[in-house]
Amino acid sequence: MKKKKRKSLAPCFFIAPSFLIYLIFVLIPVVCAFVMSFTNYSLNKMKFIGINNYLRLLKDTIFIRSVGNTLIYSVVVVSVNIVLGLVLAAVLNQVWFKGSGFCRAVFYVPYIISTIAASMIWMYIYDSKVGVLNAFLKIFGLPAQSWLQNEKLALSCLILMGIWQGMGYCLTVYFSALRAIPNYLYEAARIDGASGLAQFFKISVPMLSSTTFFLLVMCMISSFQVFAQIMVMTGGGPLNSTTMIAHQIYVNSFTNYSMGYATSQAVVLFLMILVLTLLFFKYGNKEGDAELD
Amino acid sequence: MLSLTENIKKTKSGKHIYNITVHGITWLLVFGLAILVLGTLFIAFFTSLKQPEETISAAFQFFPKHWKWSNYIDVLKGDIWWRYYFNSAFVTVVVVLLSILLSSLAGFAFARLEFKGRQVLFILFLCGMMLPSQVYIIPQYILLRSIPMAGGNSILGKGGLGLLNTYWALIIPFLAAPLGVFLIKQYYMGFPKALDEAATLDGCNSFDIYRYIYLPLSKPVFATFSILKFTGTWNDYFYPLIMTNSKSMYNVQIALQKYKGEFGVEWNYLMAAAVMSITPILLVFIFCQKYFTQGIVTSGLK
Repeated sequence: MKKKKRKSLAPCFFIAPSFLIYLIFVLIPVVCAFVMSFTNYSLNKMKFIGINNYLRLLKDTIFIRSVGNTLIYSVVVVSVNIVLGLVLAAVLNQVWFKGSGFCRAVFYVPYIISTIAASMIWMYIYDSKVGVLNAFLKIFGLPAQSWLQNEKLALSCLILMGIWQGMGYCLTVYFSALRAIPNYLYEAARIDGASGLAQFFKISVPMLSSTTFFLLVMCMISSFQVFAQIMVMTGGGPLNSTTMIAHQIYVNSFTNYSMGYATSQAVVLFLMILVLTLLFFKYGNKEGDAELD
Repeated sequence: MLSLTENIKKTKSGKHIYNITVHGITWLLVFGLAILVLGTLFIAFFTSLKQPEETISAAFQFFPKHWKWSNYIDVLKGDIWWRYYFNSAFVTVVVVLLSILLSSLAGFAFARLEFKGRQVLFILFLCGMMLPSQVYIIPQYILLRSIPMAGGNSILGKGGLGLLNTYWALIIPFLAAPLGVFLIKQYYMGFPKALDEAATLDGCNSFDIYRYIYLPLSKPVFATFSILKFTGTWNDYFYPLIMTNSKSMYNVQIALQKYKGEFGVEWNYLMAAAVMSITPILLVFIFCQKYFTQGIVTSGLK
C-alpha cells in the first residue's frame, strides 16, 4: 500500500517544477490573450467590446500594410534561403571541395550572432553618408543611395540582411540531411551514367523533400516574427514601408498602450503560424516516411 | 582496336579537364560568397579599431590606419558596460543550468514513468514550441507587474511594478523549456528499458534511477540543449526590452540598441560595443561547433 502511494507521487515531483512555471507563464497567459483580444484593456481599464478589435483590424491600413510586408519579407527570404542553402550544401558536400568545413562555419556565424549586433553592422553598410555599400557603388561610378531612408529600398535592404542571417541555417540542415542519403543510390546512378547535375535533381532533391518542407515551415514561422532589426534599423519607416506584424504589436501595446487591440493582432499572428504548423503535421511527416520504401 | 582505346582515353581526359574547370569555378563562387560573409563580420571588427575621422569620411577603407584598441576601453569606461555584461552573463548562466535540471526531470518522467494524463501534458508542452512569444507577452507583462507584495505592490498586486525590472522576471519564465523537455525525452527514450528494470530489482526508486543511471549518461543532450538555450538567452532582445526599464537591469543587447540611440554616428565605438556583444557567442561556437549543428538539426529551432 505504502509503495503504491509513493509510485503515484513520483511523476508529480518530476514534472511539477517545469509544468507549473510553464502553466503560469505561458499557458495561462495564452488563454488570457485570447480573452483580452475581445476587450479594450489598457493597464487601467478593461471593458468587453466583442469583436470590435477584429473589425478594427480589417480597417487598419497600417496593420494591413504590416501583414503584407511580413508576407513579402518571409516569402522572399525563405525561398531564396532554401534554394541557396540546398545548392551550397550540395556543393560543400562534394569530395573535391576543399575547405568545406571552413565555409560551413563562416556561413553559420550570422545565424548565431544577435540580431541587434547584426543590425549595427548592416546599418553601417547601408549608411547613406559613410556606408560601405555606397563606397562600393562609387568604385563603379554608380550613384549613392540612402538605402534605409528610401521608401522603395528599405524593405529590400532588410530582405538582404535576412538572407545573410538565415542562409547558414538552411545550409546546415540540408548538409546533414544530404549526409544521411545512402551512398548506393548515387553509385547506382553513376553506373547508369547519370551526370552530377542529374544525380542532384533526380536523387538529392526528391530525397530531401521532407527536409525542404520542414525548413519551409520553420523558416516561415521565424520570419513571421521578425522584430529586432526593424526596431533598430528603420523603426518601421519610412512611411510604414518596413513595419511588420510583431512590430505593430509592440507599438500598439507598449507605445500606445492599447493592449487589447495589440493582442488581437497577436492572435492573427498566432493563427498564421498555426496554419503553417498544421500543414507541416499533415503533409510534412508523410513524405518523410515514404522515402525509402 | 588501338584507336578505339585512344579515343576513349581522349574523351575521358577531355571530360576530366571539363570537370576541373567546373569544379574550379564553383569553388571560386562558393568560397567567394563565404569571404563576402566573413567580410561583413570583419567590417565590424576593423571599424571598431578606427579613429573617429576615418569612420566619418566617405572614402571607405577596409583596414584601419592605426589599430586603436583603446576604443574598447573608451566604450567600457563610457557607460556601465560591466553591469550589462554581468546581467547578461548572470541571467544566461542561471537560466541554462536550472532549465537543464528542470527539463531533464520532466523529460525523464515523460520517457519512463507511467501516469495518468501523460500524453495530454506532453502535447501541452509541445504546443509551447510553436507559440509565438508575441501572443503571450502582454499577459505575461501584466502578470509580472501584478505580483502581490513585490516591487511596491499592495497585497492585491496593485500600485507598483511587481517583479518587472528584476532578475526574477528575466529568469523564472524561461526555466520551463518545452524544447528541452522534448529533446531530453527523445534522448532518454533511446535508453534500454532493461537498465531501469535491473535497477528496480536492486531496490532503486525512480529518483535513484534518474540520479544514478540517466543523469550521468546525459552529457551529449545537455550540451546540445544548453547551447541552444545559451544563444537564445544571450541574444534575447524582445523579452528584456519589455520587462526591464532601468539601466542597471539592461542586458547587453538592450544596452547596444540604446547606445546607438545616444551615440548614433560614432561608428567606431558602436562597432566596438557590437563586437564585444558577439564575442562570447563566437567563442562558444569555435569550441563547441559540433553541438551547435547537432542542436539545430535535431530540434530545428533557434
